[in-house]
Amino acid sequence: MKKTVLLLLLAGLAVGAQAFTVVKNVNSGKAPEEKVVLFDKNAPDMSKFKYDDPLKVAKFSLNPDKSLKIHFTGNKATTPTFYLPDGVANVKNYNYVLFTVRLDGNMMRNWQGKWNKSPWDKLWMGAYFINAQGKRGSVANLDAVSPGGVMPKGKSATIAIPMVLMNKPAYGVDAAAKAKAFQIRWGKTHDYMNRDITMTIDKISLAD
Amino acid sequence: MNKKILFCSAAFALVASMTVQAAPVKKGKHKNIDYAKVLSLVPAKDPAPKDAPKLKPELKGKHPRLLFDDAFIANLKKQAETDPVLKKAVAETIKYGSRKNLMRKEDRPAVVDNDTAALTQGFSNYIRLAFAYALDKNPNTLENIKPVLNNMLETPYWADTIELDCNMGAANNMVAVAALYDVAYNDLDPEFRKKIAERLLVQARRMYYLGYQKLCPNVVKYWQNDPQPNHRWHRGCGQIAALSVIADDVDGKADFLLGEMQREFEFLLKHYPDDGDCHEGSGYQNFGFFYLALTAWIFDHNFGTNYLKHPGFSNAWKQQVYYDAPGMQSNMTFGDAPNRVAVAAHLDGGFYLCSRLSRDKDAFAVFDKFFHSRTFNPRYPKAVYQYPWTILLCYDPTLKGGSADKFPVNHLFADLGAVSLRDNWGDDAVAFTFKCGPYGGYKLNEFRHSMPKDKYGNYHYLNLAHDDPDANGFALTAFRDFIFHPGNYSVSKMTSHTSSILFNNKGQKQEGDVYTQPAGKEDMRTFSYLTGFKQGENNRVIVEGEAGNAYPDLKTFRRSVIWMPGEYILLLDDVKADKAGVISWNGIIPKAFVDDAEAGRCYALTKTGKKMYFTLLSNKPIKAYIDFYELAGRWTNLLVNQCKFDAENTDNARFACLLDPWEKGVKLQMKEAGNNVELQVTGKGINDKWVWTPTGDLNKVSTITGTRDGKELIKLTEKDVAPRGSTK
Repeated sequence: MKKTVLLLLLAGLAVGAQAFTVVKNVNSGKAPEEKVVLFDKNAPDMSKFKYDDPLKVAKFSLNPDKSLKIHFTGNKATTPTFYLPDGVANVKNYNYVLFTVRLDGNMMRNWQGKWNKSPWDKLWMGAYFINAQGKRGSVANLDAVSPGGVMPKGKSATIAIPMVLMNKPAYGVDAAAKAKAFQIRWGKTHDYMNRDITMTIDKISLAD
Repeated sequence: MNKKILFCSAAFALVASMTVQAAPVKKGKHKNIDYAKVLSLVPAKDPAPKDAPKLKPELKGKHPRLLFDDAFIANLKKQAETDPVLKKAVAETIKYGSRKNLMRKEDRPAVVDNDTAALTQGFSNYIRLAFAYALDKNPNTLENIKPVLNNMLETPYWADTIELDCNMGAANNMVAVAALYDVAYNDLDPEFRKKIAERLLVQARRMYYLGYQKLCPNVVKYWQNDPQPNHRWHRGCGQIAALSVIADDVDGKADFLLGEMQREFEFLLKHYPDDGDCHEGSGYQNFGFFYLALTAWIFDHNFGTNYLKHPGFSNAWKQQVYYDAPGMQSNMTFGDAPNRVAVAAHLDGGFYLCSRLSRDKDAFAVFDKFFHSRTFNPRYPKAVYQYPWTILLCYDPTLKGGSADKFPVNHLFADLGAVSLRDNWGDDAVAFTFKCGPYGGYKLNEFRHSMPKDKYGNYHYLNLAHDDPDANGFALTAFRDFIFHPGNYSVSKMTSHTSSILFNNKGQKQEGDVYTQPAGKEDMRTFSYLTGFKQGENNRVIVEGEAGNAYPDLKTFRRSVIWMPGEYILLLDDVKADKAGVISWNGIIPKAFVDDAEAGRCYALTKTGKKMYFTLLSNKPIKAYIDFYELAGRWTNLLVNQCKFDAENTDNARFACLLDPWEKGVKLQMKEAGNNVELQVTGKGINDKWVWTPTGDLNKVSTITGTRDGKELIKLTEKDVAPRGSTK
């Protein structure tokens, strides 16, 4: 009896290892599901959609197909801003911003007085939400979320920007909790460079 | 009276001859710089020279001599007749230099605007031009040299920035101008040559007083604090190049600075690790090594010293090669490096100097293979690779004939507390790196603790800007892709960017800065260090690190790595905290998937669709989070996955992680038996039993024994103490 008890006790001391329980898995295979559309070139009426550049650098217009065209020139910082529809403020409820966009144009560089151009295919911009005071939260870098880090030539691509990158406070500001707009920022570049780049936006939406 | 006047005049003339004629204060580009005020901080004359090094007598008046002499060039041309690398390098260089109007007059040369232009155009292209002229006295080449020298003479500043004439850019420009001056010396107008010489002296004085003596206002004086910042090495190289080439041309006026800079250089060498390695990673090692080496080269060749005998100069290449990601044309290094596709440039070529010094043919073979694996530029696939000028100086074809395969595949960097392991030197190798050393490395910390504390009781400041809070972190490449990512030059250094442990979602001390700062009142050598190291048969290795003190709230964190090349890798973690909380096993993987949660199995998916399976088990219930994570870097931003496995509400946890990069289908079982942990790894031809006895102690080496069919595979015991600081 004593031996049996001892054996049972020893067996109990040999503790098997544990695997894990999955709580979150962004690679489970589920595709993002659109919930709120900010802008869609194919929508019948986008008259309420507001956009601007508070730094007044980017030039906006509408293409014949009603896609939004932004022309970047010069080398100053620029912040194209896309305002959320009324009633949408807490973007933490969503998992992605879906951004269908295309890049065309060149970056111009001056070397010894001569301007050289090279095609530009990188979304070298930060994306984030701003609150009513214009303050931002955490930033997603768009080149990181672009497939392969670059945009395909001559056609649009949809980038799924994970909200987890944009829903944290920054410098004490929790912009994503009471967001006013989705903003992208292209910083100032060198004095010897000039942009001649067009961004064409087909759609912007919030998704689960 | 006449005698008095004569005497005063003579005295005045003597003083004037000793006083350097300062360049007239011209305005530069920036409105916010008070140029006159800054330059007024450079004294009118230097103190009397003290123990200045003497130019070799046979070199007086002789040029070229700075980087090479006529005999060197003649030998180079002879070697180029039969060696294909040198043949191509020589031909390309000559052709480059003789291009009509390659260089032209510029009102404001780009090289004075910022460091990048000075490094790429100045230190690279201008010195290439110097070699071109040495190899072939083509009049076109001389006509390219003259406008460069003229531009540099006419422009008021060689670095027109807030760090006026004392930044890295200025230093690079000094080397470039010195090299051109030296090679064209005999063909320049004597008056013009004299002006260049005087200008080089002016620049050296500005660098010394504004930079080394910290007189330049409104700048952070970061590089002067310790002997290892490569920014300091750039400046030293600029100084020695400028001063050496004019040593006999300025009536002794360079002697004071030559003495000072020799003492400075000996100070740098005193604190240079024997491994020649860099605590900021192989990216920054690349950025700095050749400047230190070139300084030694110039000293030895011009002044007869023996600085190149320092073992660091023979060994430095290893960090380049052992942190190469196989088949990826990229580094896989800790510290600040973008770890992306790289093309071999002039600073890479500088590492050929190492085997030139050691005469090791196998080392040459390994490095040569590495260098030539990086001569393709995927951005410009049709471009023909051109060899940089450092090949002409450093590549030695008499070292051919060795074998890369004979060179050890594993290496321990004792100064860093790091190991690099791979199964072979091929492009399809599996490579694993692991690090658990002090911030700054041991040699730099030795320096720190040899210095007095400041008035606040802080240990001497060290530059750790490019160090990461990555103790017990690892990286893995397989299938020519990153599996566990090495990082990408983080703009905010966090332990969560590394595959290591987090406690309550926080990482190690000193995390969170864009440039890591030292812990003022703590000895950083107590934060993290290797404890055990054993290399066995068939290149098997067990290495372990202790990082408990690196965390604010951990008692111990021991990670043991069992490297079974060709078969599997097993990681064992024993973590004890000061209080209950969340202990997280953190893995940074570009793309991760759960395969079988019940079995604890996941896989990393590579860009080519290969799956690298790994199994994670623990002695605690675990919650798994596979989430998006951004590695925000200085040059690239990467969206990856963070695989976080949390043991919640506990003050201790053990993890075992089995990695299967060789696709053996290995499986893991783990069970605790008292303090021992028994693990079984089974797979194709594998049925291994491991017994692991963690010590729960900050210093003692764990006991780990592996057996297969009753035969010992490898064993780590308390006797297998890892070296810290030196393998001697």
